[in-house]
Amino acid sequence: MFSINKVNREIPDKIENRELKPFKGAFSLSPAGKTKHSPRLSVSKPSDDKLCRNLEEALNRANLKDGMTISFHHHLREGDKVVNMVMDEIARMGVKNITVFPTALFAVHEKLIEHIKSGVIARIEGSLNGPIGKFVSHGNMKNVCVLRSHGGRVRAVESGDIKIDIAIVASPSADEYGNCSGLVGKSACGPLAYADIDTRYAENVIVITDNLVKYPLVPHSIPSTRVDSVVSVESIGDPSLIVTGTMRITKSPTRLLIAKYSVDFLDRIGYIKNDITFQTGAGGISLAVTKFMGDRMREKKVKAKFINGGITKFAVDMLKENLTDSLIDVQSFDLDAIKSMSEDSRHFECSVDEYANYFSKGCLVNKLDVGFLGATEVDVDFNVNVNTHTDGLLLHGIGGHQDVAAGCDITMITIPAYRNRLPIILDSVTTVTTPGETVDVVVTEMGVAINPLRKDLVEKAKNIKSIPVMDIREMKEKIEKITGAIERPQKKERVVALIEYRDGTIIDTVREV
Amino acid sequence: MDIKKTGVAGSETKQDVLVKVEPGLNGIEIKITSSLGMLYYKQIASSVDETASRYGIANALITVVDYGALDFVIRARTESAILRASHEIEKKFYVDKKDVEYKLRRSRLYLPGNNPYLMQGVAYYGADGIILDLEDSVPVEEKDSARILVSYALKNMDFGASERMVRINPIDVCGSEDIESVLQQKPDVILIPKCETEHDVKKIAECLEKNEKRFNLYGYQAKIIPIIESAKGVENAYEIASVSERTVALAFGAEDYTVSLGVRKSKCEEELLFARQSIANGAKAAGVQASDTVYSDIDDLNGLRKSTEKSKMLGFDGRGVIHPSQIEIVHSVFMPSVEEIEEAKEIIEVFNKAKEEGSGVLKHKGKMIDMPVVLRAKRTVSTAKTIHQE
Repeated sequence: MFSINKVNREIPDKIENRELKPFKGAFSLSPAGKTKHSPRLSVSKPSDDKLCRNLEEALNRANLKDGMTISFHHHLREGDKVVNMVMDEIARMGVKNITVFPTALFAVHEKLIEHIKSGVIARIEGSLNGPIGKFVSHGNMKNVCVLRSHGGRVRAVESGDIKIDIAIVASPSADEYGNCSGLVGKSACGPLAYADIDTRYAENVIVITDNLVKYPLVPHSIPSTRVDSVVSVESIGDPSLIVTGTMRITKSPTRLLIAKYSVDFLDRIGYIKNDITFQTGAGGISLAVTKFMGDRMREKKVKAKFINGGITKFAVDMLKENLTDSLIDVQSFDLDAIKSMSEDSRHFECSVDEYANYFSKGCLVNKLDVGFLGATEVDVDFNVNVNTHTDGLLLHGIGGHQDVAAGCDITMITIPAYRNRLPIILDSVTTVTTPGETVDVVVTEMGVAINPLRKDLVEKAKNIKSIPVMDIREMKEKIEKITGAIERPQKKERVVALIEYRDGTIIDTVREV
Repeated sequence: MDIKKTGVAGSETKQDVLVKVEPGLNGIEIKITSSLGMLYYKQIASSVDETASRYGIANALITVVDYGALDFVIRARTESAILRASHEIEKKFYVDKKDVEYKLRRSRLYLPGNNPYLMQGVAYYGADGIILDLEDSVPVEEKDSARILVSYALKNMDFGASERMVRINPIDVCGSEDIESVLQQKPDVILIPKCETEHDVKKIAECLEKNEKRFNLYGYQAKIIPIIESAKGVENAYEIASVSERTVALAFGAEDYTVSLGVRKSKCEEELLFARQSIANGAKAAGVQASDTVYSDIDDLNGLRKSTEKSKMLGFDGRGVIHPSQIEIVHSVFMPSVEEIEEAKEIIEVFNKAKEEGSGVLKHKGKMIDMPVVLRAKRTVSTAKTIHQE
């Protein structure tokens, strides 16, 4: 049996003993009356020695056994060695049926496929990128995977939807008592914000570092009170892939035009003014948007209240130039960002709970004026897909997409009208990640389409002539005239992954290809 | 048409497609692989099949390796591969109307004629002219295929409000083949590179005339922009600009010019002064627009602004650009100043008033105004309107 949810997707009533709640609207569900999950209490005796000889000892102390859930965070990005290291060790120890619970996976984790095949990994709850996404999409994983947004993941942990047995913290620096910091060390990555919630709720926390220092490591992002064991290893990651050098702004004229239209549009509707708050990222268009926002703010002599998101040199330069009061950082992308965070008190590390958790008493995304986000596809109802490729293969995690879209005043999707030959605007997206009711504006090189639900923006945009403002259906037709309509692939019945909305309801399913 | 040997066209780059046509025995057999999987399989197959049928091919093996090419690119590459496999050039006929009146020519954007990826989105950049280049940016062995791609691009691509221009090769290289191939798509302007004497322009004008008749392109006349790129060309600037009534502007190409002068191009551009003045003067003497050379350092936007300000000062109406990011600055420099616009508006007002009152005397601030001044004022205002839409 199944039901149809608010974005017209068929959601099965039950999958693998989990009863699924269909998505009913971005702000319709309330956790009233429910309590947080509570992990066991611990004690700390003066004689305790947390330092283990090796990873095996730490895993043994954590009573590793079949069927456990192990969590990871992704601050080391493409440079990460820890996920593969831990899963190889677990395989070597002969343990099976593990649920891997990462904040995100990258191409470097392709190696996990071996462990899926051999039964060491039974399930992944987290982003399924690149090769693993493809592997899962072809129906090669026995169990159904679950994808959650950053905020939704925190909610799932706090509510006990998922119980973490062992949380692994890959820490660029740690002392022997478990205090962790990402600001120093050869593998420095900046904040450790994604690991924060896992260390609060896991039954056992193992810190793996390649820069062991003497207690106390201050300042630290994660305190010793949450850490059971510490393992010192040769290397936790490849520094050249953890952070990039100074990123370059795209030279693509199309992408530059999209960034320009985005900033022009905000300017014309009166949003570029003192105390503006916005989120940007490190993608091709995002960097250009950040730079152009800075240029426009300088020109107009206005100052932002805060900028948040994945932080890069471009945001740091704005802080230095006093174009913003503060930077709020969950993930640093380059060395400039890390340096700024350790030297400038206005550059602030923010946990993902504080950033995006809907089931909390107030998260940062609600305070955003503008969120610049990407997409793989958008449909004429403004629903956005960031998870699957148009051929149905899982491609990306959700990241903060749902959270930012729901929280901020204007959610602006900045995307080229087509990539290769693939049109970006469709009648219906392959997979709904973020509901159209939370998406306000789509900007392509063809112009701007405003969600008709935002009557205020439609009204404000009426007098804009320097940017083409058009109906999203008109934009769709213009694009399709260039690319031709896609021929939809046949998908199989079997569900291989669930797309959870940030409140824990199911917004869509991903079927086998 | 028989396929006697193997013909390959296109490339293995983003938004292009590699098409291989080989002799076959069992009708037209098409093999497709695409970076987009099956998402366009049927459309690719039918475009390839249609193109092959149009050439009356009975038997061939056609292998298509697609990298996300748009439909017109697929058709162009298939056609090129077929022609390369059969040594034949087929002529086609299309009619399509577009008038060229007075045009702003502040920027002419160069795009390599054999690169479908860089052709994307040109309609949105707002260049006054878009040049699909068949000359320096296309290697000799790809000239034939580029011609066909450019012809398809002219037919299928959206150029927005920009003039559709093609830079052909010099007539003694393969300029006449270029013209034969693209003219049916009625490009607004043909740019002639490396013009040294009036004969270089004359030969192209004759070739255009011949082909316009041959293809029955009634009511269409290709405009010409000769490009001067040598010391000799500079000496003959006026003759080059005035020999053909098709000529709408005279352009400068500094890269080759500095070579012929035996100097290096410098940041201050002092070495170009004589050529720039000669070309601007020759153009204006012949009553056509003057278009300056490109600014090749795309990262130096301040340098571009300074250089363009100098162009304007010397009498140029526009210049070449090699990246869309240069367009905005170039346009802003060639944009008339607030004072110029105000003055132009006043002149038009005086003119309209005089017309209403039937008065023959036009005076503005005590000065007599003649018709060219009124025309210039009208252009100034329409330029301002085009740029400042709000």
